[in-house]
Amino acid sequence: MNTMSLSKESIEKLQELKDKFPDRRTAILPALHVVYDQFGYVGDEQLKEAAEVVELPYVELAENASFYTMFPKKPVGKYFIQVCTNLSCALLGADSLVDYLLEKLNVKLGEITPDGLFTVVTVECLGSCGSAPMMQVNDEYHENLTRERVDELLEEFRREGTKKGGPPS
Amino acid sequence: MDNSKVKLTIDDREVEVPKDSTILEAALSVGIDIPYFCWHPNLESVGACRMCLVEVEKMPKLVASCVNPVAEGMVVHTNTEKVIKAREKVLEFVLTNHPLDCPTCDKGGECDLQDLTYDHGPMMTRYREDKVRWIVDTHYRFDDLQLGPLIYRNQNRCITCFRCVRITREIFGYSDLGVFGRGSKTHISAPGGEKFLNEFSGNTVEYCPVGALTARNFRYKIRPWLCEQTPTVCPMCGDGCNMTAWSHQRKGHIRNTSRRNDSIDEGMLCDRGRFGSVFSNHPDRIKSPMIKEGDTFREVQWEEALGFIAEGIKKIKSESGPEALGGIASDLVSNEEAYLFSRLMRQGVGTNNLDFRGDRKSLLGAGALKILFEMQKMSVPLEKVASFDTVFVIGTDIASTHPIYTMWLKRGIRKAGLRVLAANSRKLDFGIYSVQNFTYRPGGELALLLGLLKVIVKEKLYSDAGPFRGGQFSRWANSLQKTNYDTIAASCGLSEERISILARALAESENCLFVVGQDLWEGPLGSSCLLAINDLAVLTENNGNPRGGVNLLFDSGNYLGALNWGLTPDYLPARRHREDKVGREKIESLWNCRLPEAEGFDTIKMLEQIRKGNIKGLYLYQSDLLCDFPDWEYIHDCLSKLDLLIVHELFLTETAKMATVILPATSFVETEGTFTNTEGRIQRFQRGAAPSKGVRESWQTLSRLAQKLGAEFVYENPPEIFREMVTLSSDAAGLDYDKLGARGRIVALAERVFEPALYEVEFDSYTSGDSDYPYPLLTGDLVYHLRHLTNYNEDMMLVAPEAHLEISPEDAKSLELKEDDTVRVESARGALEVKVAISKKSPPGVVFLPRNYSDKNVNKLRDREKTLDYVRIAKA
Ligand code: SF4
Ligand code: SF4
Ligand code: FES
Ligand code: FES
Repeated sequence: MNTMSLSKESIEKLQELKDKFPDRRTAILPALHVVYDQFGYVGDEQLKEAAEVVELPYVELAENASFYTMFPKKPVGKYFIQVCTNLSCALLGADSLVDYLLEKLNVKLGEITPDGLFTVVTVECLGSCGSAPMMQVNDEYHENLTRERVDELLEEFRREGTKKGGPPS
Repeated sequence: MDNSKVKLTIDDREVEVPKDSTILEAALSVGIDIPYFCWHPNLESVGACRMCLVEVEKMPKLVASCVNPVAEGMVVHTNTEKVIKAREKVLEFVLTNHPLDCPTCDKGGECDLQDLTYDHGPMMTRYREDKVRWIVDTHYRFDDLQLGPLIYRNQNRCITCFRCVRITREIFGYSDLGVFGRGSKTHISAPGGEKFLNEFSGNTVEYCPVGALTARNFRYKIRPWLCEQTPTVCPMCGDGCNMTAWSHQRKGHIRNTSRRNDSIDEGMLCDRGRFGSVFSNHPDRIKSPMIKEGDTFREVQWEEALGFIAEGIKKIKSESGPEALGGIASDLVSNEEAYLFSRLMRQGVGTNNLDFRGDRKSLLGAGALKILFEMQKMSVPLEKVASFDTVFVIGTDIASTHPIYTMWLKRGIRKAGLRVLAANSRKLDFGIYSVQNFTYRPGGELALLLGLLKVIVKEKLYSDAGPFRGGQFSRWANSLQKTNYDTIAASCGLSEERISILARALAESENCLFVVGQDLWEGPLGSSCLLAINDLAVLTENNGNPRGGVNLLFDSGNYLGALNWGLTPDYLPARRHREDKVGREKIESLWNCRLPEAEGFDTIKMLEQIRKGNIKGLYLYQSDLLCDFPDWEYIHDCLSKLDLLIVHELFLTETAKMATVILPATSFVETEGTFTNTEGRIQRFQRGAAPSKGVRESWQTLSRLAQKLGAEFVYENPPEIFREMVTLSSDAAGLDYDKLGARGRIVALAERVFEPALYEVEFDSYTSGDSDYPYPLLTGDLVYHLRHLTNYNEDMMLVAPEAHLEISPEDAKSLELKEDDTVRVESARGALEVKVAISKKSPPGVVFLPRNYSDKNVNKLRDREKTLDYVRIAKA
């Protein structure tokens, strides 16, 4: 279970955050990032652990994490694909794009592909409406999407992701 | 605090309010109504709902009045066309996803959303899309999710005002409820799939402005408008919160809501009070008088039962004298009933064998009670406790024994930086609010107190200007030398250093309140502890005038009332001592009788006399001795020896089953009268539900029985009893039953002012291990229970259905026990099999077993002759 616990570095970072702000609750978001950076997701167990370190009620971390779709709550694939389905993207075919992705990867929303590479979720507006439809993969935006572009991207990710070392994060 | 005021104009009215008010507060304070959902007087404003928009001149947009502070010269309009339109729109928006299922919603008829939409809403919605619907897998009915044992959530109806979460976190310090998600997916839930359960959970239901949260005991039961509402007072602990009892003609008393009293509860109730006091319709209620015949009871008419009792009493009296009879009432009966019972026993029966304390191994005698009365002069009212800078709680797990008192402490911590220091043999836990714990070994309480006094004297932490000089003072200070720190540390388990930290904190605080648990002052070293606490308060000049104070806690609904109105052998009603000639004569002339001269026995001595065969008849008035007395075998043996056991009770308790004759009693919702809370506040409760057919109100029963015994009791109703009894006390004399008012009245019943004095206290302790039985056993009420009474309440039995032995994580580890493992707890007296609960409140080496369960009665393990009981634990 050791892999599930916070690393020494994470704990140090969290300890630093604890007294960094006049109102301790300001540390909540940075603390979520620390957890996310280590695990690639923010689960209940990790949040409980982090809450102890920053000495805040666990519920406050959990609430904030739940507000942001960008923090997955359970493990996701190496490539975390977040497709915007809000207004502009929806008008330009986001829904069919999601269907296409799911069909192509043969997974359901939120699941990990058997090879561990992909998870697809839908999110609200990512502020890139002018280049809709769009999706965010890990930390990068991919805009003006078409099926062809999606095919290319998935190919690229597959190639890169099966190489040793995994995706850049 | 800044007390300055500002002037502003609201709707053409000049208003003057404190500078830090919000516009909403200013408007409400002069009766101008602004609608709101998320604002609540006890909570910080968050501005979540926008219902409270108003127009302020020179401001470009409408502003949320609940978050905007007032300013000098501000001009506010609450009713312009712009505001009216905005309200309509806010409501239209709030209603987009609202299911409008009013016909099946429990809040219907008392719903803020219904009412405000009726007053301010649009007549129609323009929204035509599907509504977001929260479908719940584990649904109970419709889309309701059970958040915890008592509370259900229907997310569809939630308007995300966050009051529930803010109440839980801000006021009560718990983090078991949260707001999750975002936008239309925002929802209220317990975090991490846990249960929403704390002792204040019911408040979320009451203050949810819609039907999103409902309580198990009322949901889908009855429409609120079909119920009758009656002002009452919670009898479930000594805090005396004000409640409204709701009853229905057929279903009887069905629920309680708060009845805001800013001196006590600020509109909040704990779950033991709100839910746990609904027991009047339990099927085990006694509905008819009964006389025992062989092994069964025969239902009889009232006159037959009372005649039987009168004959029985007369027979014992003529054969063995009135001293062969005794009476024990309870600390839950009203002041009027206490007074009547005292009168019945002393005048009708002719004995001073009288008490109301049935759950202790040792009892304070008249001398100690006198000191207790004296110390009460240092007490401060509940509404003041949040304003101290330090509160020292000693000898009680106050969060379990006095929930609403604890709410005030938490408020002090949150708002005013109050520091709570706690000394107890179990740790105190205030949720997210911090308490500094000084955990002493059971039996070491007096040692700790003496240690504190020693440090304060040694380090000269008392004021030189005070009265602390001269020979008398040095004699007192020298008496502390008799006990050394080693003895103290060995007895209480706290090092000299720890004791010094606490002593300095107490002595150096600006203004310190001592809050003293009943377990401490009624414990085996009670009277010495009282003296030591008096000394501490006097020495640190925290004796209430002008600063500090001592609050002795009284744990049950009317303990103090029973004490005041004559239910101890030596104190007659109005605290008139039996040997005080003036008081005695006053009572004799009022009652038109001669009071018995002979010294009376308290509960413990009465039991001894019963055992010896000297007392032959006992009247138990709502006293469940068999369940409560800390030695089951002994009490069972005593009760079986009696020729006449009269049990006047609500339920067919284990004690009642041993009776010769049973009389039905009435509960607090079936009669009227007054209770006295822990502050000494006398408060009126009214009759909310009719007793079941054929049941007489207890005051009538007591009066009628007295008449049969030849004493002329003629009362029309409880108010008349009240009017008579207050004439006995110069302090209470002016009280008018009809004018006790919404806040009740604190009555001191004390004739002199407090004169600070220091007492010499002898060291004593009562820890003694035994290798066969290594664990000291503590007991008490769980926060959800009151002795065995709440065994008759479904909600409390659902929340805390069975006895758990609470042990520390350390002990669990060394005994290899997990949560919910079954263990055998064994004392020299007996054994019980119970489950284990691992609790951080238990210090290593000390275990706790609640005294609330008839099927696992902790008193079967207890021995009245041992000041502290010891047990051993083995996996079953
Ligand atoms: S459940 Fe009720 S109190 Fe809680 S946020 Fe929703 S509407 Fe407000
Ligand atoms: S705190 Fe005490 S008086 Fe108040 S509701 Fe709870 S049990 Fe009743
Ligand atoms: S709507 Fe998709 S990025 Fe804004
Ligand atoms: S009451 Fe002001 S925003 Fe809710």
